[in-house]
Amino acid sequence: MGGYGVAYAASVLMARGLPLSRYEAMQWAILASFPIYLCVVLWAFRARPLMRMWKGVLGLAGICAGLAWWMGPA
Amino acid sequence: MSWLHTWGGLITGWILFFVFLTGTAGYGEIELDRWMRPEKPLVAPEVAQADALALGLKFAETTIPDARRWLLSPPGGREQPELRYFIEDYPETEGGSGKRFSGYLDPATGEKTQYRATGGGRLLYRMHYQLHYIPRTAAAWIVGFCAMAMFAALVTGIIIHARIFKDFFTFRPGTGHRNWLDAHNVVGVLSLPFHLMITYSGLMFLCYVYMAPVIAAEYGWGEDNRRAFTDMMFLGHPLDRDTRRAAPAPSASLAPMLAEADRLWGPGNIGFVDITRPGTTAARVRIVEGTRHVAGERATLVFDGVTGTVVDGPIVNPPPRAISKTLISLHEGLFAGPVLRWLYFLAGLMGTAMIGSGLILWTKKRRARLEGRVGFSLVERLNVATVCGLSTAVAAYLWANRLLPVEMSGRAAWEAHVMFLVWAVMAAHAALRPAARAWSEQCGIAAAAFGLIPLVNALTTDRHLGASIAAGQWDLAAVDLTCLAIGIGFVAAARIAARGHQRAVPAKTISPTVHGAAE
Repeated sequence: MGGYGVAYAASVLMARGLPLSRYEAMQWAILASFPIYLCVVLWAFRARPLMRMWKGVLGLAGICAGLAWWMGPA
Repeated sequence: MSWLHTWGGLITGWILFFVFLTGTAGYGEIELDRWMRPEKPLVAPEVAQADALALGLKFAETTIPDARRWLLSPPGGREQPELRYFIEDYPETEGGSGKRFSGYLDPATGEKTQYRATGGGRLLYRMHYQLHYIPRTAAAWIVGFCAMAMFAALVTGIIIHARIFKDFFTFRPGTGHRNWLDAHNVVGVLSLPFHLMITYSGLMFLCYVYMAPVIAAEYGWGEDNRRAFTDMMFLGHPLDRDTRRAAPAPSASLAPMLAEADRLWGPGNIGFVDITRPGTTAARVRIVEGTRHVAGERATLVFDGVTGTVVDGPIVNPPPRAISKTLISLHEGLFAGPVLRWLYFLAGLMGTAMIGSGLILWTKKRRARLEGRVGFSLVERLNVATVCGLSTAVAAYLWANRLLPVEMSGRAAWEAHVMFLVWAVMAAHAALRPAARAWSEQCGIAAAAFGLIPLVNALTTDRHLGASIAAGQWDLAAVDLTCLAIGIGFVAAARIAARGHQRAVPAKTISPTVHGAAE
């Protein structure tokens, strides 16, 4: 779930942030979303203390979502 | 990492096995389709594409003149062995979808052909992402979750086997669970690029389901907004979805358009002709090349349906689209010739074997510790029911195709019902028998189910091996021969399972501590 959150937020950030056409940026974001999700899942299973994992995942998702929100819809 | 690999693999393994098995069968979709319609001519008549299309157009004009879309696929190539039509009506309410009709025509006469009702190879192919009996979106999410777990299992598998090269050449037969571990590694590593590609690209296919919120964040929610993205992703241009009736207008002749396609792509290389809103001022004729490419698009010509002049519709193909399009072509493998197609099939089988051996490995490693627990025997029995039971069910699907009466109503649906009924019976058998016995018995049943298919075929049709090989129809013979080969494979598996059963009996007399130390 957390991984999906990060993947979602990071992808939206990419789709908004990349200096490309709307379609192109979105396609990059979609291509990247699954590997991002994977990386978060792998990292989450490595991080030993559960709290640290949650802090990391939620923090990352929060930062991405915040930035994306700040940029606003294109 | 190891934990994620083991448990993520276990809980999704059974569905992944189903997905891989039916998906692998999907690489022979066209060949299975043909095998499952034995009424088709053994050797297709040679008809020029333009002549066949003219007959198809006549059929469309006479049956549903007021259609929104006529789509005609002429004979030629692997995909269209005959003339196929697909007709879509104007929707009754704005924005809806109209009634759809499809079928086959004799390319020489234009008559409608009568084949037995069957799901064909196409149904097996569809099952690998739609499953069966459940709504599509639900299936997409289940398959997507499993695919993501597969993705994680592959990468963690690589991390666990840091000594991947050395491990690859290690095989320790007859060492209990270790030979299963070695086998799991061999089939996993041998086609690792295939597994990674197929999993990642599989997720890309349904990305608009899984990553719907991402798309919605920029495009907005709703079908139309979603399509604004997916049309670009899959087609490279927005598709004309206008369903309003335009003013009637005479149609331009199709023949010069086809001649232009022949001139550009070589004769007999038309994939399909797609006419939208025919007979109106808005008519468009889209002709698509037959040859498939690994990367990039099939060439397309778009004509104005009234004037017959080329309408320029450039395909936009920026780098990220080229990547996603290539992933999708690699997944489908439609560009593959016979040799590469066999490799695809083998890689798919290896993927299936990797999942199956992983599931078996789970039980082999834990037998000494967990034998007798409810969870353990559940896993063990689900393994038998999936690995042997599902394989047998696929064979039963082919049996049903031959044995159900041709005139039966709901025949195509019953073929699938037979498949799942047989699977249920196999699962019940696996649940009731001692596990070791269930393995060898079900391997035997699967061997018979596959091995006898050429015989069943010979008894029920005249499209048997004697006829197909004599006529040089190897794609037809390949179905029988592959079933025979799988049957022989299961005979070998049954013998291994029987030996394992005999070994399992004395093994139980060893005290658990000794067995545990050997782990």
